[in-house]
Amino acid sequence: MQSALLDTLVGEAKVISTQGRGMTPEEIADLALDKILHVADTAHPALKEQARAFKEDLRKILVLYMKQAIKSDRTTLFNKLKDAGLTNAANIITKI
Amino acid sequence: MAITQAVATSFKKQLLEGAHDFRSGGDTIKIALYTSSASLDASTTAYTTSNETSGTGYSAGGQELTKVAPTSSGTTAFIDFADETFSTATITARGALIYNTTPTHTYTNPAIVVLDFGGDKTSTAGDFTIIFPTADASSAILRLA
Repeated sequence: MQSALLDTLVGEAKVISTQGRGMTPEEIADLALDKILHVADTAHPALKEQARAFKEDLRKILVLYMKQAIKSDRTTLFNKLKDAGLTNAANIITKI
Repeated sequence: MAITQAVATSFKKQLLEGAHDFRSGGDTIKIALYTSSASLDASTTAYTTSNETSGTGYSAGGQELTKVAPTSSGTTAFIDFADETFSTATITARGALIYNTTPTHTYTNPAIVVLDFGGDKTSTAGDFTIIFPTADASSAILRLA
């Protein structure tokens, strides 16, 4: 009689770290793209090329909108700090 | 002292007891970081503060992970988590423990998976980001095949 085997497997997580700064929009876009689009190694070369081109287009859009989000958040931060009477700190935000 | 990547044996038993719910709105799953002095492997049964990483931007117990609902492909079922960032952190970690803070039954912070980063990873006043593998049947962070 055969038995049924359930195998539990753990994948390989990676760590990336930064020193004295946060991640750039480009670095975060790459992380997002790895979650959005994955092409199997066994895929047809033409399909791989199409996916690579699409990924590059998507990357440009993600980076653009992330930069806009950062700018928009800094505008919010600037106003919060100014409203709190921290004008000097508010001005630093505009120079980053 | 060593960190060996593994699925906790106790977790396998608890799966058969229905102690873990990885669905959206299910249990709260966290990730804690550890130094190279920690002893973590398949025999780890629960979260411990022993040799847990400490430093700016890190609190004991780690951070909650954002779950991606379990799915399957072919004959393999798997789960995934969103990449997790410890921001403005000055820390060093060699590995991590993923554990459940709200399991069914009477378990307290039961271990799920031990991760080995392969070496010390350090951030200095920066971001420390754990990147989970592609969520598919051959790479996902936790698979049942």
